[in-house]
Amino acid sequence: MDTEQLVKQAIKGNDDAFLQLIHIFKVDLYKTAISFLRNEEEALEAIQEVTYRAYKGIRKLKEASYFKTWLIRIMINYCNDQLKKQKRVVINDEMLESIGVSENHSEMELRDAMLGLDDRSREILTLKYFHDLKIKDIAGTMQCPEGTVKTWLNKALKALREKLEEKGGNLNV
Amino acid sequence: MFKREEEQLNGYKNEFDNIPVSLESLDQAILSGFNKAKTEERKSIRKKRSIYSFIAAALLLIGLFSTIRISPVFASYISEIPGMEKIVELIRDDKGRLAAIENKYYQELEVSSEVKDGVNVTLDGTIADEMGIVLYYTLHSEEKQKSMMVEKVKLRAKDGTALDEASISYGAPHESEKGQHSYSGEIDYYFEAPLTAKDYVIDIEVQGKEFSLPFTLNDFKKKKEYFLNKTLELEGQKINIEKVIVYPLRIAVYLETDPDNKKQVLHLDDLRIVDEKGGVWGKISNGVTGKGSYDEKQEIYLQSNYFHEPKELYLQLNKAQAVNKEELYVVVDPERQKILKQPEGNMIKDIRAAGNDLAITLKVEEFPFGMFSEVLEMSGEKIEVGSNYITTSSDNVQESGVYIPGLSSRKEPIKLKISYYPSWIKGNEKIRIK
Repeated sequence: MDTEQLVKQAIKGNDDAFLQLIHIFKVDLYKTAISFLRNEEEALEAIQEVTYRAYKGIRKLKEASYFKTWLIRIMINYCNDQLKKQKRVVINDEMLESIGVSENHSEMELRDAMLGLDDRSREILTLKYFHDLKIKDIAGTMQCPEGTVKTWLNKALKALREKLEEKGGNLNV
Repeated sequence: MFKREEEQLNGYKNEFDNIPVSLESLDQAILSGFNKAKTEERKSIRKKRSIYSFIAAALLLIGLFSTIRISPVFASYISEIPGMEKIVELIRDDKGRLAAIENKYYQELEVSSEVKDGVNVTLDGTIADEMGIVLYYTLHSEEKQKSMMVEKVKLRAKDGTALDEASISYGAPHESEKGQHSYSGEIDYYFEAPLTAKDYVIDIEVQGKEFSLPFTLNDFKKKKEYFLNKTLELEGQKINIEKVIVYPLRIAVYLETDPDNKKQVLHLDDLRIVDEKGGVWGKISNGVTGKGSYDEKQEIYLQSNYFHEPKELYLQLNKAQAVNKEELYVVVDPERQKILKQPEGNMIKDIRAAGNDLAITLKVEEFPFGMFSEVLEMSGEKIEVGSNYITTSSDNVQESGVYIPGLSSRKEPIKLKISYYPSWIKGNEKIRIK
């Protein structure tokens, strides 16, 4: 059975199909979680919560072909909420930098810049560059015109550039 | 335009391509999330059921109103006591408790705690006997709340007498979509040994705050004990009734299934007390229904008829679940998804292992029981199991299931010990108590 058929089954309430789908995308979900939360335990908790939310919400998914985007968005939203809750971003920035010696410095910077963005920009960039999703699919799941997504994407990239420059500046001090 | 940023983003992404993932913990997390959703789904099924019981209760309440019409004493009594309506609402499906109120055995307490952060607790009243204390409470909040619940309770005797608790029930969350300033509920305590103390303090925790409320019980009405040593027999299977004790709160029937029975009697579906006029007191519909397992001495609790003075009293039984003693275990092969052994009649249509969930499909319309009490390896080694669940599907089959950790990696058959099973022995048994 291909993914789209599985999605259709899952929407109808087939638990096996639902679980199969989660397993297909679990690594994508995990990567997203770890990129946001940077902590294995929290990422696993995120997987648990996203499975739960996806199961509760799948009946409301209208277009089977958007399943992946829809699922990843649940994860991004969850992570955004977590980040806000913990305010860990701010507290841990310096700590991360100090322990992050073994990591590639520019990627470290990028992560910090990403975390400094607004939720929507972070979501758009994650969907587009992290998961290589098409503008069309993103627009479909978000239920808005492609043009709007493109505008958001541009804004996000612009904001990211500003953050990176700001960061770069700071680091040079 | 944003080439540099896009490159960086791609590099960022590649960083995660080789990230170590423990697939096992991933699968575990997925399963936990799935189970959580399933549990809630089950709860919502249960909620739907409780709508039916609400309808039943509403009918009963209508019945009660007509009783009020013919029993002006009761009507005026209810209107006399402030807040009595809400208590009647809580107990309307228990004939014994209604009778306790009607006979003024309900004791008003009206003890209120101090207010902490806008929240306080009132003990409205109690119905108690030597073996149990049922407390009716109201939670108040200055702000409207959508949900409140009693999180913890601890009952102690003021003089320090140790209380031997047999069961405590409380704490279903009270919910309201619109939000409310107060919620009423009950806390049920039952004890192993008769109470001797009169003065008590109950500590109730609500929203993380603890409230201590003292109260003093009136004298209890004495139990009525009937020694029987008689036997109920359905299709040759004997159930020996030792005695029946009638307390104001409930009736306890002491019984044991006969060790020489060919079948194991599992559950007495319609055990009830009947008086000479045909008045029936059945099972407890909301609360503790019994004590002990089916292969030992057990107590079954029924609604109390303490406040009725019948001329004659009978114990009646027509239907019980039973299986042949050598068929008490269902054996399944989880890997091949096959039933290797099940009781005669083949009521189990299908088994299915989904992850660590073992789902069992039954050929019955409705069977609201968790079927298995224990899961074992063929060697007899016990396997710790998670939650049981029941779902009803549309086409006259019912699925129930049990979560068995590590099920997906089991290669050997496992056996499940039956606690309830949709196979009945029938008859028309009636023994005289009084």
